[in-house]
Amino acid sequence: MGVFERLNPVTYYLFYTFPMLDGEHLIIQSAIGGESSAFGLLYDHYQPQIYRFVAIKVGRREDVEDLTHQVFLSAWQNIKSYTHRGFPFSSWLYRIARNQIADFYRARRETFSFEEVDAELFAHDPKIELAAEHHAVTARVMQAIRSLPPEHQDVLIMRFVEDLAVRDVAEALGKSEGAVKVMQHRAVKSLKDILTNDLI
Amino acid sequence: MTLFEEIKKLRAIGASREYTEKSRRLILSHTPHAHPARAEAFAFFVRAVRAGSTALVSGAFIILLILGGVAASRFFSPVEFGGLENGAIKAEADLIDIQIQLTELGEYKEEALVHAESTLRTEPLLKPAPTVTEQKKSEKKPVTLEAALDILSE
Repeated sequence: MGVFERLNPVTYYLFYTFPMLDGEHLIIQSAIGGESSAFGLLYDHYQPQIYRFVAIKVGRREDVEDLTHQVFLSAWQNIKSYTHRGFPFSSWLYRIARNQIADFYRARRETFSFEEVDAELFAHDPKIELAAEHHAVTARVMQAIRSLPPEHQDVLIMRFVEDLAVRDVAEALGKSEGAVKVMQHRAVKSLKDILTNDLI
Repeated sequence: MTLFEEIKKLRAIGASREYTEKSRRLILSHTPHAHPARAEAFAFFVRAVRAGSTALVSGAFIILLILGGVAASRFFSPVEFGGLENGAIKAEADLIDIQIQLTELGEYKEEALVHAESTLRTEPLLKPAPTVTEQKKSEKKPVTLEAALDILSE
């Protein structure tokens, strides 16, 4: 457990932001120049958080894998159009992921159900074996998050699962920092209401 | 357990190693597209130049048409311009008229003098005796315009 994670949750979320890759700007420039190994580094660093983001919003493992693959494929194919503006590369990846997920739901016209929380989503690390009851709690939280409006979901995942700074979330969502703070406040309140009143 | 701690547990979600390796290999086997933004910008530039040149030619043609129309109207018809004062023109016109009248008056005077002199010079010393008709004519009072018209109408 890191230094920040030993702090209480409020302090933790106030001060901790997800780190950018060391020398990210140079790596991105190399990737823009067509160097696949540079994009490989970006993939290794950002794939886990994009995968989580997609998994929480979609739920079924096959769909999550397809969508995550599509996000990074699209990013690599369009890397030359990327402009670095001082924000983490993940902001751009989140935007691509949001579009992919929106297209996915538009095409399938399906909504999430509890059964769609795939236990295999948590099976990436053999050391982490979640007990059945633990999985049930986590699945319930996922379901509660997914019952929120899409932008509230995005804010909750980016802020509290991925620990992104408000400005980075604002960049990823194309909103002002003030708007993100308001959305965060409403999202947390709604999530608390759903979970405490057992509304799912 | 707090809400934040429950949400935090979602960090346990992750992809399997097999999937990650396969996906990574497949993605990197592709080549990035040509610069789409630059290509789009160039296409936009070409379209803008085309549209701009069309608009420029049309605009120039319209301006030429307007200027030609104005020049033609100046050439073929008198046009009153707001810059000139009607009062000044009238005064000038009146002045010219007066000068003409004065000139004419002078000419009439000269003619009268010349006529008088020539009459004196060309008059024969022995003047034939006037006829009766001539006498009547000479005795006649100066004829007015109305009287002359009456005579002619008779």
